[in-house]
Amino acid sequence: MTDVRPSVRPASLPDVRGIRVPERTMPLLRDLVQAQVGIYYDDSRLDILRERLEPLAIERGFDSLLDYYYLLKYDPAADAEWIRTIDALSVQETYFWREFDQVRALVASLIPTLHALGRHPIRIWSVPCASGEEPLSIAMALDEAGWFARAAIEIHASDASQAALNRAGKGIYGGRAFRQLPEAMRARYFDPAPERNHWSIKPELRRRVLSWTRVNVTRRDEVAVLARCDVIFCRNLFIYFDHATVGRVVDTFADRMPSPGFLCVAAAESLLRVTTRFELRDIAGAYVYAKP
Amino acid sequence: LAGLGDERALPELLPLFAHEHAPVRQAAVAAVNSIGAEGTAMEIGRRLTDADPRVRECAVRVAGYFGFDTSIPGIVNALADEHEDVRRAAIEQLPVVDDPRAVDHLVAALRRESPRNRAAAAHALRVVDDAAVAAPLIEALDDADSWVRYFAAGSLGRHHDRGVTGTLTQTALNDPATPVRIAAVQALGDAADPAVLAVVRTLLEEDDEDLACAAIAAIGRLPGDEADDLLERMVRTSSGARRAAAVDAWSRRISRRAVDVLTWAARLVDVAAVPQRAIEGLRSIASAGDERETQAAAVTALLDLAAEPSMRGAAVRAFGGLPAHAVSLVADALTSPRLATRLAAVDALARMQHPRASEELRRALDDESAAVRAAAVVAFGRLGTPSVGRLVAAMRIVDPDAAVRRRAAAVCDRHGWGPGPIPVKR
Repeated sequence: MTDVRPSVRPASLPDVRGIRVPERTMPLLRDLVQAQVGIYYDDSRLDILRERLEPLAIERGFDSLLDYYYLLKYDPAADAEWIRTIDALSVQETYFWREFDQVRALVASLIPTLHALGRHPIRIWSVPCASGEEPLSIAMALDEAGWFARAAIEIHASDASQAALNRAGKGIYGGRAFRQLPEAMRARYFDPAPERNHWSIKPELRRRVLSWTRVNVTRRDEVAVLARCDVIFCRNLFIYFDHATVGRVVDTFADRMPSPGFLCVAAAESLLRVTTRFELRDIAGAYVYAKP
Repeated sequence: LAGLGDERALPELLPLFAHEHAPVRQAAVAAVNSIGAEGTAMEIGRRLTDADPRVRECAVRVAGYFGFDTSIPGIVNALADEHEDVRRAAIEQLPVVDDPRAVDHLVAALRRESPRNRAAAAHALRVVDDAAVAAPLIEALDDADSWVRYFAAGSLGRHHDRGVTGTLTQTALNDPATPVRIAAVQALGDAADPAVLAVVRTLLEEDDEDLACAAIAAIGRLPGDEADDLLERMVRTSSGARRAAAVDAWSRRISRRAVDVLTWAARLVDVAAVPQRAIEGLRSIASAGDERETQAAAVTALLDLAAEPSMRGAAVRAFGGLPAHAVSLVADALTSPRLATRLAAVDALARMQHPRASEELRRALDDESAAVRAAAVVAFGRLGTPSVGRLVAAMRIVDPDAAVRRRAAAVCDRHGWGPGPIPVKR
């Protein structure tokens, strides 16, 4: 029997482990990703982009990221591949009751204001919703305050990642998702799931979220309907976009939202440099952008 | 586990051949290949007929990597596997399998396999050094699947066969899929046949940036003044992508004209990536070939750019990669009457990774300008060159300029350089 011997693989064949990244390929991919989904990877983060895309290229059987670039840009099947790409690029780790000040302000001030104005129904859009923690937190908070009995309220949820939406569809969450949620609320709205340290959302709470859709917020046509909501929670997304893209998305919201309308972004995401169409207000102890 | 290279990892890695995610399987294959444990051949031989197609696929890849004699029949058998991925793995190993029928198998796969596997066969043929593969690859340019045509065009380019220029030209001009046209254009460039210039230049006006940039790169591989003229026009175009592609193309042309164009392009301010690429191009020319006059021109251009505050950082960094023979070219600039050039030369020499660069840099400690002496002291402080320790220690006392003395003192304190015999002073 012949035992292990040195490789006879010619130098021109890539190492089986790696994938070739021809010169200038990463900036091409960066620009394509930015144009398609708005996420911008500056030069210092191109390695992250590469790490996220390499497994996808390998799955497709490519040995070069340039081939994968051509697939995403030109192939008739690119739309299906973009779903996988967006899944790979999405940061989906979140939890219930995250950055709760704005949800508290929604319950204590925004909903009463909109109700008094006669909005019927009052519509709330959570985008990106990841695997559902944010819209379900909103639903729990409104339920706790008894608002579903007093007003017609619609909650809609969207994300660009099909994988995230699939997880939301299952409605099963691990322990880390509950790290901020009071235990009593977990008991009220969730049942233990078969898998250890996992809980399943109760159907009555899940029904409070009226729709779950895959939406790319940088596509004006895809946000046209839901951007008409009275309150939009768009948190921890703009940090991945460049200023121009943030400006375009916020403009679309401003074009469509009723007046007054309210936009909640994360604490780290200031819109003051990208738009003058929203006013930053302190509402019930939380910063919220208001369309006058 | 691959990095540790411990043979005991083999039993832990082999089960990963059945993992659901391809990147994990690929990493496991790579680790097994990297470790090269004794007994791998036997373990792999057993897995070539495993019930799980994922395991068979991985086994074929490892068998091909090592070229086990005993595994060659298994790889050939895998060409008839019921599972497409296993067959594709076998196709990808064929170029490196020591089997006289390997090329025949590849050509057969190119003609009769599934679209994805035909594409794999077309891609694998790029490394087969056999003139007989040109005809089936040309045939594959008419394949219904665009990825087959794409890889066939790429493989034809790798064979540098000018006999296929006409066919590739038609593909470049007429294929309905843009990536296929791009691959054909690249292949035309690889063949370096000046006759293709007339065709490729028509693609410069294409709306698609990728295609136009591929045409620019292909022209960059063609010799002659006409190609130079076209490339110079592309550096001046309004499209940032085409301009950057032209700068890259110029970077591979070792000529005085290339130096001039790149020096000009390095000062462009309207497309962010272009100046950096132009500087990289100058560095490439300064490093390449035997044409000392052109190299000297590139070094001079880099020094001129380094003397400009806005370009200083990028230009000085470029000196870090220059070969040893560039040291004397840079050192010549220490005698320049222009202060900014001498300062740039100090920074450049400090960046160069050669002992001779430090020797030349010593001369700057005697420069008539205090600014140059101070820059040299700071540079030696950064380099920590012990052989100048006594000299710098003396400068902290005898240099006529207070700022130089202060810097020398700081450097001496940092490195513990003490006073020695004080050299005869200027």
